[in-house]
Amino acid sequence: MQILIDVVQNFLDGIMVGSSYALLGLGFSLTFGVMRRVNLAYGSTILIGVFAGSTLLRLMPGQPILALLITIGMTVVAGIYVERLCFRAIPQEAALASMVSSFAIWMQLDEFVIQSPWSQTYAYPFPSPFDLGSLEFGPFAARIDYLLMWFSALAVMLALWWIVYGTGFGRSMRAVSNNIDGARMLGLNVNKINFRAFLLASVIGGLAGYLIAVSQEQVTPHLGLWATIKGLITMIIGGMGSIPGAIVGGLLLGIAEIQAGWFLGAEYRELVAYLLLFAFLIFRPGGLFGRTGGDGIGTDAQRV
Amino acid sequence: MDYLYSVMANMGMIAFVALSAYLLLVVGQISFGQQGFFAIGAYVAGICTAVWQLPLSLAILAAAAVAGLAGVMLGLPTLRLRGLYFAISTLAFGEMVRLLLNLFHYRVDIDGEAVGPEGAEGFRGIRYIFENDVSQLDYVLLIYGLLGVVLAGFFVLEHTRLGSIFRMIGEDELAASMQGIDVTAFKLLAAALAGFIAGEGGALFAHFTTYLEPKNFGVMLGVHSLVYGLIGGLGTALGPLVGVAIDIGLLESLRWLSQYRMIVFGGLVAVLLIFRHRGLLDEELVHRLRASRRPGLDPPDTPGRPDSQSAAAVSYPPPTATEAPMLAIDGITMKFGANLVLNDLNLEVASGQAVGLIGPNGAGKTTVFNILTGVIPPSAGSIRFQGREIVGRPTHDIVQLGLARTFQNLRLFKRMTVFDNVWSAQHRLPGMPVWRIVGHDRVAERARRARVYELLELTGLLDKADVLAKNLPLGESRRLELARALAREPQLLLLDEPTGGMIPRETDEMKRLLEGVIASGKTLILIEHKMDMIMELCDRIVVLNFGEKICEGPPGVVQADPKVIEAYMGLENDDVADGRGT
Repeated sequence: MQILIDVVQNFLDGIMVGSSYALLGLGFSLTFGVMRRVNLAYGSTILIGVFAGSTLLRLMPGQPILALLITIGMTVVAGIYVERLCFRAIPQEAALASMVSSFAIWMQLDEFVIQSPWSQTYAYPFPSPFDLGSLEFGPFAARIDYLLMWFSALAVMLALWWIVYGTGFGRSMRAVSNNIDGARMLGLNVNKINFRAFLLASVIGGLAGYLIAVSQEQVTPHLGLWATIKGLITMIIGGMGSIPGAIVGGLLLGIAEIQAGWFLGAEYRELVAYLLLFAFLIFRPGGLFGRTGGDGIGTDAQRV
Repeated sequence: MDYLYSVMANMGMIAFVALSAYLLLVVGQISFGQQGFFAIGAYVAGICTAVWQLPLSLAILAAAAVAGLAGVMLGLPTLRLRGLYFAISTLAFGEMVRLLLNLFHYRVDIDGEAVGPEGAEGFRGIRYIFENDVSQLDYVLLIYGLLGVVLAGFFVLEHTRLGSIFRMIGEDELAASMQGIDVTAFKLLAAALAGFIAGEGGALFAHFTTYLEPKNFGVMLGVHSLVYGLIGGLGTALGPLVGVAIDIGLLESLRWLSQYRMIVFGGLVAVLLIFRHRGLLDEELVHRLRASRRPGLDPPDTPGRPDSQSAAAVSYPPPTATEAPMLAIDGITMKFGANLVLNDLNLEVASGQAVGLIGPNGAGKTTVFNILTGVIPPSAGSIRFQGREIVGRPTHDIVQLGLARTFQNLRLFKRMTVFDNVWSAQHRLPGMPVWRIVGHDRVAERARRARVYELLELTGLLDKADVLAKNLPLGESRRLELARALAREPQLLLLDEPTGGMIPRETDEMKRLLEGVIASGKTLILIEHKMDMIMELCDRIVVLNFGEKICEGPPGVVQADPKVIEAYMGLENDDVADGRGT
């Protein structure tokens, strides 16, 4: 009986953790879906935002809304920097150069945070604005801030769905994603659309960063690496460029990690995450919601 | 001095991983996981000397061999993945190695002391170089000696056919397979070699640091190694070394900046990549440097004179005197989803014939070529080439039978010279066993080079032999496609719009060229839109429309056929006859 309770509780926890992965995966999927290029600096732009939020909370405690705005705002600013330097300035054909350039900027942004005068310790506190405790029902418990994260992920997904499938901007994004040359020939300003997709991804990243920081109550400079890798794994599992894929992929990853950590031990948690990724790549490279085989994207990304 | 040694040793050991990632970049694969092979090498070597008490040389060999084997094991399931998918799978591999090392316990009592890897605690006491009194200097020399061997290997590779095979695969896998190259096998070979090199570096690392921890082998090491090749340049194996030197050299020279080093370095790399997408020493610069060092390639002894020996060395045996036609297409049907692209196509081509394949855009002409060369499998039907069934065989296998094609949308190896484009197409011609890709047979090789020059002269590209293919204008690019296809000494030549986009003067040149090819007795299938040309060149014309063969016969008959005129909508009979239709 206890084992059943554990499984269910892990499942609930996994969904909660997975919703942060889902948000990261959404941001990743958005930029990759439109630009067909990988932004390795995504996690570190989030780190910049969260660090700015943490600094603000230290200088002016008790300003959760302002901290949220600053977190998102600084993530966007860092995102624009990355877009200009690593993507706009490098032509589409040189996808490898873009990726490596975004890696260099990742290193730069991480170092920028660590060396900044406001960074006295190796962990940046991020006090939660409200002590929500947890919701208990029967033998199960769910932290309310995690529930909040879960609902935010759902809301972001719905909003993104509406933007992509219900607005003119979304239609042009899909056009660029589908056939960049065709879109250009139809007179779409591809640079502008890429830029807006990047902004949107940064906003989602900033929001994800804020929610993660609040639930952990502190972050370390490792957030950048962590967010980039979790986002990448989620995107692959869900299917590149797929919105529902990012959500389901993130939840699946979260549940698998928590179950493995509980039943096999903490050191297996990461291992199982990578095993899951590896299994998907080999048996279903298109991911859950991608085209089987992922040929379309594979061929595009092949010429690096 | 010790400090200098340790910096030197670090640079040398990292260089192994960087070269390993570089080799995969050359075959067009991005790997974030070479640190995994480095880790495997380090642990294997450490266990060999510390636990099993084996000598260092054996330990290094074992480490490299195990890591190379791991490269094959990883490559088997993952190398069919492309681009980003492969990159992520290597990331997963590298991290899995690190996490598994966290769980890896293997302790053995040696002289009353427990030695061996102890999970996340690490692997202490790899004391071989202390126990055997190897001085720091000697060890640094050993590192650079082995690095020199690896580098020498790369330089030999550059000058063999194997090197050009790797570069061809890196540029365009489809075009490479069309030159008879088994792409998967050679990618696997590259993965094995890359693992081997990284494992060797790991073995050296284990004995230099004497203490291994799984966290030494994080994803950062792998990504850095990948970046080194791209900073230094992908044109030569010196590139990754330049990358390592810049990073670690800058690290030392910017000590006054100490904590801001990464900020400056990251910015510099990003700016560099804006101007040089393939690094400092990219293919173009390397090509220029080489060209300035030795003016021109070895010129042909007797330009233009067909060398009887060369012809004997490279030509296929004449078609066997069986009754089988050169090509027999029987009931080929192709469906993409609900789209019927080809419907029950039958076509027979006799040896020495020139057949024109025409039809409006989207009629399925190029699809016929793709099916013939095994690029896509047909939904139904059979194709016999000289009596042998070729449906279901891979591309490299089919072209090996004596079939070559050009591409409508030009798939040259753009970062290789004109000469190399043609030269590398001679892969495994008859009389060239597979091991010849690493060792030259001087006499035969001279004959083959003479043949390349002969083809370049035939196509009017002799004075462009040393130009990179990407710098050719369209007309010359199409002629180079033809020269490359002819270099395979095919019996059946498939030409996909050889005059597409050409101005009239270039079209005339191409027509004269093709007349010569036909006169030399080659069998030809030609897709063209320029009617006058196809009417003059071909013995027989096949007209496709919406995947159906609507007409077949000699030019005169086809021209008069009302169905053909209708297919070329709105064209008056006279226009077609005058060859003004396009």
